[in-house]
Amino acid sequence: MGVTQTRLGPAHPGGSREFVEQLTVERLAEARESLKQRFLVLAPRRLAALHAPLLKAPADATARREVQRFGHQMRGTAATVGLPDLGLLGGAIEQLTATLPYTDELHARVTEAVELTAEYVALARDGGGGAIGDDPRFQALVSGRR
Amino acid sequence: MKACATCGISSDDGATRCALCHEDFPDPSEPLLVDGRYQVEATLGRGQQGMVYLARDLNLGRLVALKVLHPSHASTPGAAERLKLEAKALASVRSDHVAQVYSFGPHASTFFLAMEYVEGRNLDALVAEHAAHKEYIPTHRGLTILRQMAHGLASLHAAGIVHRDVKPSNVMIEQGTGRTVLLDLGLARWFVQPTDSRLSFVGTPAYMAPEQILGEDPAQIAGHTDVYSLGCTAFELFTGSPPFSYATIPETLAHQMWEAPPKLSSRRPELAFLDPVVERALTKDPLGRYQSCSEVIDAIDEVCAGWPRIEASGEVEEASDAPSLRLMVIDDDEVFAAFAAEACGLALPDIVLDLVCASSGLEALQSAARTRPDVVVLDYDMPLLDGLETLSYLRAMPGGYNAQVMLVSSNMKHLPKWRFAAMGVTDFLEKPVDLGEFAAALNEVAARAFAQRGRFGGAATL
Repeated sequence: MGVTQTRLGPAHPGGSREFVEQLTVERLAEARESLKQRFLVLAPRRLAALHAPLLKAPADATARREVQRFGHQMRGTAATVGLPDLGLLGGAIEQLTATLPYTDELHARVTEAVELTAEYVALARDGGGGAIGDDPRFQALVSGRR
Repeated sequence: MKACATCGISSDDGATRCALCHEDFPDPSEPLLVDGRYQVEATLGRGQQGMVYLARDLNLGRLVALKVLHPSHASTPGAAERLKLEAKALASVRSDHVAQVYSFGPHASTFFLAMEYVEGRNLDALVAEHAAHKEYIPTHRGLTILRQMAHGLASLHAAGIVHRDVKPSNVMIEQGTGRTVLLDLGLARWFVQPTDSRLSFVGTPAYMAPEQILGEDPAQIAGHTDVYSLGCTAFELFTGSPPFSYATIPETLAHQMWEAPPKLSSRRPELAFLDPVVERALTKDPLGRYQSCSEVIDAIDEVCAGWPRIEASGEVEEASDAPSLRLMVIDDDEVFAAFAAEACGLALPDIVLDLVCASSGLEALQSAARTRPDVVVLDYDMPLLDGLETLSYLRAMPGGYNAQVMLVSSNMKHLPKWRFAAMGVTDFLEKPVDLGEFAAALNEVAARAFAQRGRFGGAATL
């Protein structure tokens, strides 16, 4: 991303003190939707790019940490833009890749989490999701019990 | 129970006057008004020197720290003239790192001094808080604090004032900005009573220079005296305790006079590179010390030469003529940065926003050298330089203590918030965060940034 510089506004009338009242539901919803769409485009692409080196070399600590860091980001940002399922998946990826020793079993669960992410991204694009907690595959990922 | 507003003595025997200073007890139903304009809102402290109040200047609407001197300090011959002269000198000092003197004048049988009220935490409290967590204030941040203290002291010395009581509890780290501000400047000398041998020296034993302890020749007390105390403060900042701290005052004073100070590296081997600086500041012979605080600043810059250092750009970008705010979002997560940018637009709809989004701490610092942000939204978990390190470097940059910082993290439960107190950060937001909530928090921080910019002479105000 690097550094971007933008000059905004002034775009909207009104005093800034009362701005919360002026933030219409539509304006907020519009902003959230635009960010959500952006996330749905960028996140799977980035996750796939970071996961590929780890898939090739599970013992590569740098590759594992990169995936862990992205899982951490995904946990905070996905839920922020209104994608709680993906937030939970991000948290799972972060936790699995942070666990040491990073065993073959953990590695397999991370791969499953990445695949599940792709599935839930597609679901969110179609306007679905919201019930990952009930998904037995997610439960197995988190608990490690098959 | 009544309390004297001038000397702080309490009485519950029905007397209408203070037994010590003979001032009338104030009517508890009436707020105390000093000089017809300073309305007392709370007591900040009381001691030998008198009372310190938090008061509101009714003419300007701002809060001030109001010191009302104990009448005994004003009753010696020539005291009025001497205090007036010194107040004039103090009022002439202009530094971001020195609490500004606003006014001075008579009050009842004594005098008052109205000063800048700096809200924040004392350095000694921050040192203690780090010690309680078995940690130290990060070295880079510690050096920035010392550098800013040295700047403040240099301004005092240029006005012919020696502080005489430099110590961590007289240093405030301002809430919101992390600006280092010296308090109680040069006031110690006000309380010398030539007739009272118990007060024949002024200062705090654990931070006093040998010539201050001897107290024989006032001409010996100069800028280098404060340099010694700055050295003691540096030692405490980095190790958790001053170089000489004993159970009794005579013991402490004797060590200040005769014992070689321990090396900083004896307590923290990794700080051996700072040994020569601290050692020179703590030299017993005043002539062997740094002779000015500018020399201390140069020495700090020299030891920091090998560290990542972002110089201020020669070309600082001008802010817009319209009401504007320079806002920087530092987050390695592109979507969250876009989210924060969106929130900025929502939070501040009526002003021009110069918005910079940086994906790493280093990029942010390079950009900040040109743009001098008023508000920074900072992610904690970032590669290479994390949020704490990035902020430490930002605060060290020219004007870096003007920026209001909001810290955002999805690990708030594990975030060491106390570490950020030394950087003046008090605004924290946990991810995931609602867009409207984020915008509301930003709006508040921006309002403070505008007030801040007004104080430092910026062009734009809301």
